[in-house]
Amino acid sequence: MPRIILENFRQLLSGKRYQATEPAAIETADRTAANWLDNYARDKAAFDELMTDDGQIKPAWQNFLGHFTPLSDENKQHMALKLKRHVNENGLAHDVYAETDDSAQPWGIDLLPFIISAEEWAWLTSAVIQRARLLNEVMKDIYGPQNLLKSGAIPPRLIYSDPSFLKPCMNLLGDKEPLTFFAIDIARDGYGNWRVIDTHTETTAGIGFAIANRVVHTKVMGDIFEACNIRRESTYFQSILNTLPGIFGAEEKNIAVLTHGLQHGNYFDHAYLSRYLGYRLVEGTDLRVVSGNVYLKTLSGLMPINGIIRCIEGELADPLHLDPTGFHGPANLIQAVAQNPGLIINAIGSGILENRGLSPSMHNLSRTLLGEELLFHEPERIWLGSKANREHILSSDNSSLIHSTRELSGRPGVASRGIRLNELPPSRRNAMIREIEMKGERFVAEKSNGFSSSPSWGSRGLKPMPVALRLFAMRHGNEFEMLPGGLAMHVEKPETAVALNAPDGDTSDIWVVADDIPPPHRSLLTPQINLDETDRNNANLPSRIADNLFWLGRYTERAEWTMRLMRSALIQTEEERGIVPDIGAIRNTMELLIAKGGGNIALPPEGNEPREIEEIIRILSKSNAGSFGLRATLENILTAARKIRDRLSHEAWDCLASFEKNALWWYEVTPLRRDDTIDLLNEGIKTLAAFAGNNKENMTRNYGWRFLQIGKRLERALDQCEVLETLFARPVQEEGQVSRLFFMLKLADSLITYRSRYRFSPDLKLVLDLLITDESNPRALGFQLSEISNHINALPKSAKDKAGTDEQRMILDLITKVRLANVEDLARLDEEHGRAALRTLLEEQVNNLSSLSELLSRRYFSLTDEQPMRVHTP
Amino acid sequence: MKYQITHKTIYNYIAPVVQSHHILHLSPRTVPHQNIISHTLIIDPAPASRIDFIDYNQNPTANVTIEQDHSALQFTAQSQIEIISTPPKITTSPTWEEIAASAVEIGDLDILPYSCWSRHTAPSEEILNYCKKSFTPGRPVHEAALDLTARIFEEFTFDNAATDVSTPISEVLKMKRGVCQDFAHLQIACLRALRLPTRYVSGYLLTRPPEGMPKLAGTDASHAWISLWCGETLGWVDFDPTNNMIPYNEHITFAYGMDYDDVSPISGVLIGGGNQQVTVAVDVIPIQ
Repeated sequence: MPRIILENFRQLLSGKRYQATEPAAIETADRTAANWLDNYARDKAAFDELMTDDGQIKPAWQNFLGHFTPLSDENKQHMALKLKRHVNENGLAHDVYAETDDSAQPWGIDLLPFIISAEEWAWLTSAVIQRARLLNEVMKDIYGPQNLLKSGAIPPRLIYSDPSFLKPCMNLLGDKEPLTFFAIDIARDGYGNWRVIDTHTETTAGIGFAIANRVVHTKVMGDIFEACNIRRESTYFQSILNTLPGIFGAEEKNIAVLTHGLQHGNYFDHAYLSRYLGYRLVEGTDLRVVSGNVYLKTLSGLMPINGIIRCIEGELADPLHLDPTGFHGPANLIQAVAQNPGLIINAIGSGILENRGLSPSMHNLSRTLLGEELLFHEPERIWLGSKANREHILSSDNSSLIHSTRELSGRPGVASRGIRLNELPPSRRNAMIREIEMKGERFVAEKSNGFSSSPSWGSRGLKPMPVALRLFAMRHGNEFEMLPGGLAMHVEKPETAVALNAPDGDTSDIWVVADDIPPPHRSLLTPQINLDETDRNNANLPSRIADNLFWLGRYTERAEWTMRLMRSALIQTEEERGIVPDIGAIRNTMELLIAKGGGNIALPPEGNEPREIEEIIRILSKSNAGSFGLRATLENILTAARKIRDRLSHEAWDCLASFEKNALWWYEVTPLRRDDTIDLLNEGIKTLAAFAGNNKENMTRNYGWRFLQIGKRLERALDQCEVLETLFARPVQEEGQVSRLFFMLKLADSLITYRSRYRFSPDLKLVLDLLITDESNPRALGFQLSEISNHINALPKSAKDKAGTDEQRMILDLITKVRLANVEDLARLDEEHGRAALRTLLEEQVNNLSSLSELLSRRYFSLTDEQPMRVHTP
Repeated sequence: MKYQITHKTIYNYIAPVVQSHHILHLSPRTVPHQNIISHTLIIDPAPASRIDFIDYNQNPTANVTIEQDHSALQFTAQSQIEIISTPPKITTSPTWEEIAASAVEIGDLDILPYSCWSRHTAPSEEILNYCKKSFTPGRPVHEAALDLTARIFEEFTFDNAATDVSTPISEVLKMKRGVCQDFAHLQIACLRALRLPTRYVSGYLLTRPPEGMPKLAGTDASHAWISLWCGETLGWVDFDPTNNMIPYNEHITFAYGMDYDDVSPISGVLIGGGNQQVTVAVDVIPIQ
């Protein structure tokens, strides 16, 4: 031992990533190790991964400890903290895209890896792959000739009672192999034998989490990883990348990863996998089946998809042929599969193989289908669909763990617990007995086999934790190949755990010791893209993304406008406290927002007191202020931004997320005084400016950018027109116009420009020129229209639109009207009708801008924002 | 008996439908006691693709996609069917326990799957208790099933305003109201709770106008009843809980399934359309 430590220590000192330890520490290293091992209080009855029964370190761990032990305590603590920080920064939490509140399940990575020797790995590889091959054959029979059901090798009621057996998928496999992705959960019993807990055949089962764990963990443990000669995962993914197009018979660009979307807890997994492999991530409503082929709806039209990696459950894949209660997959996908059986991996229907009731049949199936003895130990498990088994459990064996035949989620770390009849109070126990009698087909009973323990990093050194492993295999031609690594998960309540359960979210990276020299490191996160094939404009941008960017542009602008409005009103009332000649007009601009959004709230009685204005400002930030209230707008921003989280830079997302984190935006009754409110609004406006600036610096000028900009410009034009109309086009007395003009200039952030140009108090003609016709002022209507026009002209169009699109004609018409407008005419006041010319111009702009928004939606987003609808015969 | 059955469905949509996919069970299946004389199915506007196939319940099925914009859609199915059967005379049958036990053993996948419950026919304690009043220990299966059929007929009120496609049977059992579909689902749930193989039957029924009145066009409706496996000798026996009878020559069978989901005459997913208005006209007319 000491020799190994010294040798490795030399390598260690040459490493630069963590501080070199003082030479004196070498002598204490052994002592520190000894202390640790003294504190490592393993359960003597359980199998321990680190130590033999007589307290010796097992060979697989010696090299690692030789490098890790000598590090100073501070160093280790520092590494643990750094790891934690990386986990947070990478968003490696379960629900990172869904919710950012504290209730979201956290994800933790243990500083200590789970280490497997080369010999043990060789055995595990053959055992896991045997299981994958076996289930592949079982599936071909269940969805084909069903000989195994007819002969009773598998109880037919087991299959037909499981809703994940999808009858519409019968005889759809053709000559294709149904399983490509395979994962298995295993644990060691007290004798050190590996046994199967669960198999995952439905989806990719968390492989994205496994890759992310490795990437994050090696950021901290990279040097030790290198020094220990651990097998890399990237070679495995390289083989996936080389194989998948072959499996699908498709080009890489036409392969998609199908996810439920952001609301799903495994979205991180799906997003990470798709990014790592370089395939596009799509949702069901992005896809359409036309004449039995699948297409992605993009800005430039329908793009064929020839290969789908399915991350959604089979029953959700087609709302027409399968589960009719949702729209997670495109309607008629089954028809596309019937025409092209290799379209989807894993084949739809593969969830049936996860049924735990299959366990007792496994030995026989292996002999029948493979002619081999099963390598893995099966748990002592029986299916309660059989009457004899039910009677046995209900009458004589009350101590077995009872649980359902299938977890509905393949998500690592989530599993229901088994229950024991003899531990239930009498009333619940009787209910459970009746449930089993009635629905026994959906239950299994088993003996708990326990878990081995492996070292986990704690503040007081190493402590043993019960652990289970999730290992992954993937088809490579006719064979399966193992991911050299995986997820080790700490089991919280090993006595009743029946599947992987990590409520604390703690996982360890699995390190497989290499028996040869590993190939040079090559992360797939560095994309290997052929430059000729890049789509710089992003014409293949899914319409759904463009749609959300457009609305994000609108909502962020709307929020900024609303905040400016509130701030200006507060400042104005402050300045004019006592003498408020024109406060009614200011009040109108805010009432407009509440009325437009259908706000359901009582406004203070008509009056022009500053405190009434303040009251309206408070109302605007409440939840019932309607869909144009500040609160609704902030909510809309967060929803839209979450849907395209991966299209925004880290900093841009942080800007928007800061609204969620600051509780002051969300109080129903604001505890703020007016000065504090102005500060808050200032901060909000600054944040939105930072967001806009960040996009400007960091977003590629592709179609996505253009839609964000069109949304922003369109909203600014609309908001400004409406307020100009409210303030100046209506028949009102002339008095107070000056304060109204000041208000408007401040609102439109153009007061400084005005003063530098004219140096005298505002005149309506000049203000209208600055805010409507002047195309050099980024706050003017003319400027917005000309920007919108540039973007619209640059958008992709179909061949039949050579003569121009309706949108192009409409924006041209709007610009022309503004350019032809004469500010003298616009400013002319008629006692009875107000400013008729101004009013006509602004109303027309508002109406046509709304129509323009609809035209754009119809051409570029239609069929995405529209939910499919279901019909039935009555 | 020979019948001509016309089933016409018209959908009118407020906004144009851009694309629609439908699965149709409007064509009669082959059953031993029925001859199909003729059958036509006309779809307007003409679909971009129509794939006719036999589904996993052996029912003729059409998968239809319309790609052109449309604001109305019409399905017209017309069938002439001859029924050759004699009034059922069942005097003895195995006990229901024997049928339930044998169902587990049967390797015949045309029978066994129908003993497993489905989305619309999940068991519950209430269902099991309701059922057990008819299914007393050792009772011949046909006798118990007739008794259950009669009880549903007597205790439940036909009311087409009380339920819709999504009403669960637990609710139907509580309200004691519903339509033929609900009664069929309820009876199937009862029988499957005992693990007896039972099929949902979708089809049509000859109706008669009140005495002295002429029969009005388009006033018939599609109908649903059940079919229970009564052992090798008797085979499948139909029961109609809505009319308290064993169907023979006035029930025309179109499709078998686990429940309504399998055999719904028309189900579809549309993109576009907005609100829709549906008109259904069914005629069942005896012919010479």
